[in-house]
Amino acid sequence: MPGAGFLRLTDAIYETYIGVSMTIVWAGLSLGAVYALVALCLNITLSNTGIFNFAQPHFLMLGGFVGFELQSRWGMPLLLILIVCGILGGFVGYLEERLAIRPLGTHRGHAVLVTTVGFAVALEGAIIVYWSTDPYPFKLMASTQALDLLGGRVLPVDLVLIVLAISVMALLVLAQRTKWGLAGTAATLDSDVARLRGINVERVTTGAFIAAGALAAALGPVVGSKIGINHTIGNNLVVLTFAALAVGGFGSYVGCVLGGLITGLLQLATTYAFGDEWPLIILLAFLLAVLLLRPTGILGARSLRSV
Amino acid sequence: MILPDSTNNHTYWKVNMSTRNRFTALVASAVAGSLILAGCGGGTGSASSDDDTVDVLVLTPMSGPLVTLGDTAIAGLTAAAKVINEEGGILGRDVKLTFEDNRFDPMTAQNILQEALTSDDRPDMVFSGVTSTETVAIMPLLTQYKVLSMGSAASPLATDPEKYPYGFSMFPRAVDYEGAMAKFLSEKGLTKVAAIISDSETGKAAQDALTSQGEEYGVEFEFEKLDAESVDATSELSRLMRNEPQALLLEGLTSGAPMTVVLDGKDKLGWDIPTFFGMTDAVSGIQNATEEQIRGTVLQGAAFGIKGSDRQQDDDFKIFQEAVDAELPTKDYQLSNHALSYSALMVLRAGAEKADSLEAPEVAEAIESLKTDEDIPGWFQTVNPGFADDQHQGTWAPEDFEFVELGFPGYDPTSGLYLPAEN
Repeated sequence: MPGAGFLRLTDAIYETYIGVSMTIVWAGLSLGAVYALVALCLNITLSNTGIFNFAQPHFLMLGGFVGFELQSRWGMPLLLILIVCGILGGFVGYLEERLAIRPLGTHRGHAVLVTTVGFAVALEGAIIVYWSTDPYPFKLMASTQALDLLGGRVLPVDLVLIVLAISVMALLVLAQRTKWGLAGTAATLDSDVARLRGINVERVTTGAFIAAGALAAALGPVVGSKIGINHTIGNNLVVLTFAALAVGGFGSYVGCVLGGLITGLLQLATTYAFGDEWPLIILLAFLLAVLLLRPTGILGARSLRSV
Repeated sequence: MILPDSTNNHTYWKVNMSTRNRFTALVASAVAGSLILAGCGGGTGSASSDDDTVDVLVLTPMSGPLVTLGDTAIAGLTAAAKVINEEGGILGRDVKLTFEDNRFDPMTAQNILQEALTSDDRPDMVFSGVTSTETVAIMPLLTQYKVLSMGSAASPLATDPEKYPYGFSMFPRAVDYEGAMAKFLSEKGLTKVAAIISDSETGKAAQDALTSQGEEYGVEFEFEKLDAESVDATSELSRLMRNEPQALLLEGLTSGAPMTVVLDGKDKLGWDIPTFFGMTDAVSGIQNATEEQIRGTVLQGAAFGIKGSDRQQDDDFKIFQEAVDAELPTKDYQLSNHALSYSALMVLRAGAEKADSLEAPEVAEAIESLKTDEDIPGWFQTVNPGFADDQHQGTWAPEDFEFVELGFPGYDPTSGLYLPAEN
């Protein structure tokens, strides 16, 4: 019967292309969610202090290692792992601000690039000393069964990452509208004027580093169960997260997620379409195109301030 | 299944690996070149200052991402040295091992070697490393100083007799194990096979060998490469799915994410396809896999490394197994990895005693004439090792490999053996 043949044909097309494509979309979104989460953490210090903290992905790496330790050796439950990682990350964030930022004074210039990179190296060194350079397999979630969702298949951990990226973004957008968030924005735009208006800029800066450190470290175990744990995660994440931020727009939390998801999707879709030698080239070409058309990124600040 | 080679631990974000590899090779070559120049005045000849012992310098990862692989080399060499010394040593002299940590880093390996070769106590033999990454970098220096070397590098680049006449590897040739794989697949009636291979020297050697051997046995392979630290293989697997292959082969996938990533990717795609693990996949990938992912898969391994194999009745194997068990009760890598370093000292003994010398040219020439297992006391890996003047890796025949359907668990870390389904 022609009708049955047509149905078989449409089934075949669905199975071959749409089903597979949706699975790649989920995988791309999941990878993009990793970039988005790191970008969100980076954006906390960026939008509240104007500092691009190169050590931020290393907090995530630290959280991954600590989470692995707490799970494998101490058998700690997930919630407690996340809390402990968050507290530790907050403390290390505080240390970074006191050791690598505060001594530079109010007119830091490009010195923060050097000191935050230095802190990243120190953090990585400490991790190597304690955990060595061995990679660790890490599964935070017991279930590894793929789920059928919207015509594709997705692993539970992938789904958690996507939901987490959107949830964290929403929380940060709300936080930006609080007194603390507004103070951070004011301090970033002009710290001298902010001081005149009674804002304690130093406290805002310290708070931003503590919050970003705590969030990144708490996310470490979740991200680690997707990408594994090893001492190179921090450096590896910096490059593509920077690309995600540039695409989405520096300073915008929604832009972080948008840029991250686009980066992840583009990476896996181009691998599928052209093979594994092309994604980075295409990604960089896309980044250049975005920056040429919108130098501030898709959702970055839309006007430049003239002084 | 023997250790994967040339893992790279620096980026999992699908960076253009070939460009990076070329850059690494360039840097390594430049350093090697400068060290050779620096060593030009250092003289040649491999005579050790200590005539009471046969001095073996062991360069192996004792820290870093391949530290557990380094442990297999240390255990295999220590076990072999004890067996040899109990049997009277080499030319009446005890084997003395000196271990140095090359950190799986070519430049570190070169620095250590340079220091050792310019010292008064030059080694009689160097164990050159557990992967091609560190081994290839030091081969020019070893050749310059005419020092005999053995290792377990998989890449033919490390064992080219024309360039490195004193260098040998115990690792089977890719053309041998992939030839056996192609033959096996062909006998199963498979003509179109998808292969996920590691983006490494091992993967490249496997791809070349599978292509050539596939043509001989009528099996067409389609390849996708996977970086050692890739975190998602959905796209690569989807590309392979498009041509509707009859089976999927995994080759050279390392102990980090890739094996799990591929098996998880298969699950995500719901791709129910006969799956084969190749000779160079890491055992930890099988250990970390779920029962559903392992059941029904077929593994290629060294015959002596499969539980229940007739080859385990070989007396030399029994001595080896007992000696290694004493050194390393729990094995993170399959027993065939320990056999590589163990066999290196057995080959050294056979070559030195045949040449009645420890001078590299004489010993190397003697090793090239070792054809059968009777020529090498303690050898059990293959029926006939088959070294030759144009062949510095052992020859493995199809019967030296076995293909088994894995059980669950598929590996026993105490014995270091793979467990077939019936066990």
